[in-house]
This record gives sequence, structure tokens and C-alpha cells, in this order.
Amino acid sequence: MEGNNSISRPSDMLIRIKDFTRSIIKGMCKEQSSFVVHIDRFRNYCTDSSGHCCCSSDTAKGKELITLQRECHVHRLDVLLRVLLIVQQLLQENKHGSKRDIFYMHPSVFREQSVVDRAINDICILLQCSRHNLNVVSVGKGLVMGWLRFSEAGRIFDCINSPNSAHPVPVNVEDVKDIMSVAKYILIVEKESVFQRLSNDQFCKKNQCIVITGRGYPDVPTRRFLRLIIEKLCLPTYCLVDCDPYGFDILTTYRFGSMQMAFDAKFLRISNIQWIGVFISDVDRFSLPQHCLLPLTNEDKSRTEALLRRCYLEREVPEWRLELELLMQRGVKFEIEALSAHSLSFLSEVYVPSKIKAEPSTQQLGSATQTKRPSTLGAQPLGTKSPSINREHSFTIVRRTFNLPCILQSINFSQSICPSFIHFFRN
Amino acid sequence: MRILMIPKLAIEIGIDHGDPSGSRYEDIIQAIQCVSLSSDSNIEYLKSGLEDYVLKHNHRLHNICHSCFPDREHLKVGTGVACCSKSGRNAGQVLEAVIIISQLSKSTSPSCIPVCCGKTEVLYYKDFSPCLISRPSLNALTSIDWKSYGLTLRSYSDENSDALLEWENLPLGFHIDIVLHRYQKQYPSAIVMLPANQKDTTERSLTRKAVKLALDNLKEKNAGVLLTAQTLKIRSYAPDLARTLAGLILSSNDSNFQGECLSLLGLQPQKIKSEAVENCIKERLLSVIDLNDRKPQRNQEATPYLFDDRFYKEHNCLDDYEEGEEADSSLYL
Repeated sequence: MEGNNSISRPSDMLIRIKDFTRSIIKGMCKEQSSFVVHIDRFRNYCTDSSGHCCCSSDTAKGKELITLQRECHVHRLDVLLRVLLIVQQLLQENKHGSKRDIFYMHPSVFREQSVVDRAINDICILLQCSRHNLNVVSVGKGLVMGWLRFSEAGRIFDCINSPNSAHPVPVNVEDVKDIMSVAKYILIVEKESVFQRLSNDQFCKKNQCIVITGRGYPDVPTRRFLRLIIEKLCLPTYCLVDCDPYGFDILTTYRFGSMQMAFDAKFLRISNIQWIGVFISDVDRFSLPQHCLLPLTNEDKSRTEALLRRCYLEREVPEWRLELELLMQRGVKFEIEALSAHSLSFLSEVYVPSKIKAEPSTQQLGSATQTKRPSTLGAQPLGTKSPSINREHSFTIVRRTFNLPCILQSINFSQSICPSFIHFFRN
Repeated sequence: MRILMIPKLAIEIGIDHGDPSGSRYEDIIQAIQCVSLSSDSNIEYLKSGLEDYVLKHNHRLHNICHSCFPDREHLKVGTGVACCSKSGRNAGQVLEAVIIISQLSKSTSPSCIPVCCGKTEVLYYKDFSPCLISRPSLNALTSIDWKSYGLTLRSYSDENSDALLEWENLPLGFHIDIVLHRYQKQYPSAIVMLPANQKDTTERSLTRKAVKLALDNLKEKNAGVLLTAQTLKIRSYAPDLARTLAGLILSSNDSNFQGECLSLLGLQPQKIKSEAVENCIKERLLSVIDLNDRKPQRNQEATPYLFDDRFYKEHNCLDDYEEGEEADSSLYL
């Protein structure tokens, strides 16, 4: 839905709002009274295991017809029009408002925040735009640290100065510019606690990477920012989540997008994300004590069964599905922090490095299969889909070595050299 | 007979017979007021007769009660005629139905209040004579989906009198009068005795059809009457919807767009007040809503919804965290 910038200007949005309003008035005034609002429906997965569904396509999967014949539809239309009026005012006055601001403008009508959220999504679908095009902002809760530098609305965020310090993910991602990095990869971690663990262990300083967390289910600004830096920097991206249904669902949110934002999934998902753990097989591999394992609750099992039914698992990431089935079979779950049973720094000093692909230079043309296997433990990251995709990714990096802003990505240099290069880059 | 208002009728002869006490007979035929109707059809006379019946408080008065009914426009009337047009033994059967809805004000005099509040005495005529309602016609009345007309039938009875329908939750002062008239439009060349069940089926079918036609006719001529409970709820949204739509038009900084929308609404752009725009939009919305109410029920339910609210709710529980939501403390530190 983000599309290109030419359709995202406030003036374009206002034109679309006027077109929609005009169509409502026309529909109301027609003699035959064909008052119908068509809202496209999007989904990024279904439970059809036959493999013949069309979920892999980003096109609409049907329409909802909103008429004045059902009370629930009239209520939905009432909410939608109220939110649309607020959005029109925001755009005309060049102001921004949060979804919560909008809720409090008519709390007795809206009753719940989710009602407002749905109306905003409906408007995005009707006007074929993204949420930020409506001047509706989200409060981002993501954190980032590592070898990254960027500016947002003229303000510079220099994470490189202190790569183990957390910075909030910018909310207005469209204002992010001048992205620079010397990182070798991006690591996404599910929880803030794990993020802090890596920060305390000086992980980014030792491993030359960017670490980002959505602090649970990632919000839209975090996903947009992540997508932006991946596209700009062309770095491999790894994901570390708990070994439980919630963790897996968060992983799929990054990889495929959420159902709620299915209309915008094309611009939010990260197709080349690689799942590095924690896996149920890590229990034996890393000799985790049994007391670190928790039994799956009935709710966990129900959620896992629901996850297993999602069509994209079998179609796109069958190896992920196998891991999830194994989780179900073993009937236990464990968190990333369980690795601390060995030592506090086990995660940052042993586990993650062993899972990450070793060197970017190994991703060469013709390297059809996998990258160099890590030296010690750790299984191959899941999500390396096919040799052709690896070649394409490698080709992109090699090609970009001739592009000055990205030249640092392809050069191996020690920490002693790095500050000099950073200094050179700044000037 | 005064309800049928048939202009040409055979005269009844009353015979006086001697009595030691000197009794006299009274006029048993009351003069029918001369009513000039544009149409010569029986249904128009029946309608006029029932209107008189209602306006004179079930003929308790000799004249129209002008305090309750300043004019005939206070009555909401619907008529329906069903004929058995097929060739065969039932050909020529006609059933006429007239339904009148009246509403008395709160300040109505006690003498004007109907005897049976919340109840409808169904007047029944067969071949131009009053009689007790037939069982098939009564079955037809009770089988009608009154809820699709915003009415709920609580009970019915027909013990030794006209059929009595009792309604639930009728507004105060609201009254419904129904008259049915079944007759043979043209007598067949030979009288054929039909099986009872066949006659009953035909009469039941004709009664249902005529009454539904009368109800639909009443709804079509009187906006906002006999609306279903759902339609009444939907109508309650009209003012808010109108206000918001008026806001979208009038708060736009594009005067051309404003002019275009106002022209579509049939309003003059110059010196227009927001209240006038709101009212115009509200009337349009109510018109659409009432039109939808008159559509057959099966069309209303057949609207294709690929995804309904249930699907959306099922797939919402594991989706995006939005700001303001707290993480599950059992899973996250």
C-alpha cells in the first residue's frame, strides 16, 4: 500500500477522501438507491493445506459490501466516516495524531481502541495507502543498537558512537535518511530482556552488527524501519525468538506480516529473514537442564495447532514448520534466557555467534548452497530458502561493493581499523 | 354492512307484527352516507367504510370524531386484493383486505379510547355478509411474519366473535383495524362442490396474499411505518451519519467539491447552513433505509459477505501489538 511517493502526498490523500465522499453522496441520491461501500479484503494466510490457495499473491481476496441493511455495518460505517473526518482535518491542517488521540475524540461511539484501528485499516484499503499517509502516527516501542547511523527530520542518531546503547526506533520512518553502517548483519531479538542482555555483554562491539527488538510483537514503525535498513544496507537478517508459540508467531509476523495489516504486508514483511533459534533441538545440542523446560499449556497447544495450519508455512518455509511440529511433539517450551543456565554471557559469546553465518565474504557468486558452517555448535540458520536466493543476495553485495556508500560492507577490517574508516566516512 | 358500503344492495324488509303492548319496529337499515368514489371497485368502498368505522370510533359515534381525527390524513391505510385467477374450480374467488393504523393523542378523551387496547378485532365478511372469520383465514393471519412489519403477535382468539389479535408492545394510542372480505367475483356456470381441504388452502393462500399486499401498500404510502426492529435501530444512526457526512463536505477546503456535493443533494451552494445540509442528508439516508426495509427479506440476507466479523476476530488475537497494549507478563520479562 505504500506504493511510490507520488501517491502519498497529503494533497493526493485529500483528493481520494473527496472522491470517496462524493461517491457516498451519489449513492445516496440515486433513485434506485445503490448505497454500497466496497472494501477489499486481504489475507496473508489461510488454513487451506492443499496448496491451491492464493495467499501468496498480494492481491485482494474478495470484497466486503457495507450497506445500510445491517446494524453492525451501519455502526462500522459510522465509525469509519468519523475517523475519516478527523483524518481529513489532520491532512488539511498538516497535523499528526495518534490512534489513541482519535479514540478519545468519540470514546462513547468507538468504545474500544480496536474499533478505531479497524476503521483506520478500512480507510487505508479504501484510499489505497498506508497508515502514515493519513497523518496517523504510532508510538513506536522498538529499540535499535549497533553499527548504524541515520538521521530523522534533521536529527542525527549515531548508534556507532556507542554501539551497545539502545536507541528508540524512529516513528516517522519516512523522514529517515542518510543511513550508514559498517555492520555485517542484522539481528532481530524478540524481547527487550534479550536486547539488554546483548547490550550488557557488549555484543555489538564484539560482533559488528545491528541489533533490533520490537519488544514483543513488532509495531508498524519497527517493521518499517527494519525493512528500510535491510533494503538500504542489503545485510543478512537473523531472528532470535523464544521456543514457544508466541515466539514463532512473532517470527512469522516479521517474515510474512500480520493478518491485521495484510493489506500492507507487501511493504512490511522481510522475506529473507533467517531463523537462528532458539530451537527445541538446542535443548540436547546445548545440554540445557530439564528444569529450564516448561510444559506446553493447553492454550499453547491450541495456538501451535492454529499456527501449523497456516498455508504459508508448508509453502514457503517447510523447515520452520518441521521445527514447530517438533515443538508440539516434545510438548515443552523454553525461553532464550534459559541459555543463561550455562552462564550469563553464553547467549552472546557462544550461542548467537555459533548460529550466525560466519563471514560476509563467503557469500560469493557460485556459492550455491550454504555459507560456511559456524565453527562449533549451532545448526544452520533456518530460512535460507534456495540456492538461487543465496546467489541473488550474494550478487547484490558484490555489485554494491562498487557503490561507494556501501563499500565498507564488503571489507573485512578489525576493530582497530574501524574507527579510522568511520572517521573517514564522517568527513 | 356500513363497512362494505356497497351502493347497490337489496333492501331488507322488516315486518311488523301486532303486539298487545304496542311495540314498534325500528329502522334496522341505517342510511349510508353518500360517498362519491373515483373508482367503482369494491375495495375502494371497503376502504372508505373502514375509514368511517375508525373515524367514528367503531361506529359508537354518529359522526366523525374531529377531536381525535382532524382529518382523514391521520389514518394510515393500506389495501390489498388477491384473486384466484387460475382456471378451474376456484376461479373467481376474491379476497380483499384493508388495514388501517391510527394513533390517538395522549390527551384523548376517555370515551374515545378503544375498548380493546393493544388488540385488533378482525372484521370478516363473506359474500357481502358479515360472519365469523373462517378457520383458514385465521390460520393465514397467524402465519404471517408480522415481525417483518415491526409487529409482534402475542396471541389470538376467535371464540364466538370476530377474530381478536393481541399485539405486544404497541405504542400508546396506536391502533390497528383490519377488515377482510371474501366473495366470488363471478359465479361459475355450475356450482361445483370442492373438497374442503382444497377450498381451505385456496382461502388461506388468498388471505395471506391480500393481507401482505395491504401491509406492503401501507408501508409504501407511509414512510416510517411498520418498520422492523432492525430498521428502527438503523434509522437511529441517520442523524450521526448525516452530521459526519455534512462535516466532510463543509470542512473541506475545496469549494468546488462543496458545490458539487450540494448540487448532488439538490441544495443551493450559496448561503447554505450546515443544519440544512445535515437534514437533507438525513432525509436521504432515511429514504434509503426505509427502501431497504421494504425489500423482500431474502434479498436482504443474500448480500455476499466474503469475510464476516467472526473471521476477522478469529485472526486478530495473535496479530499486531498496538501501542497501549501491555505485554503478557508471563511470557516477557
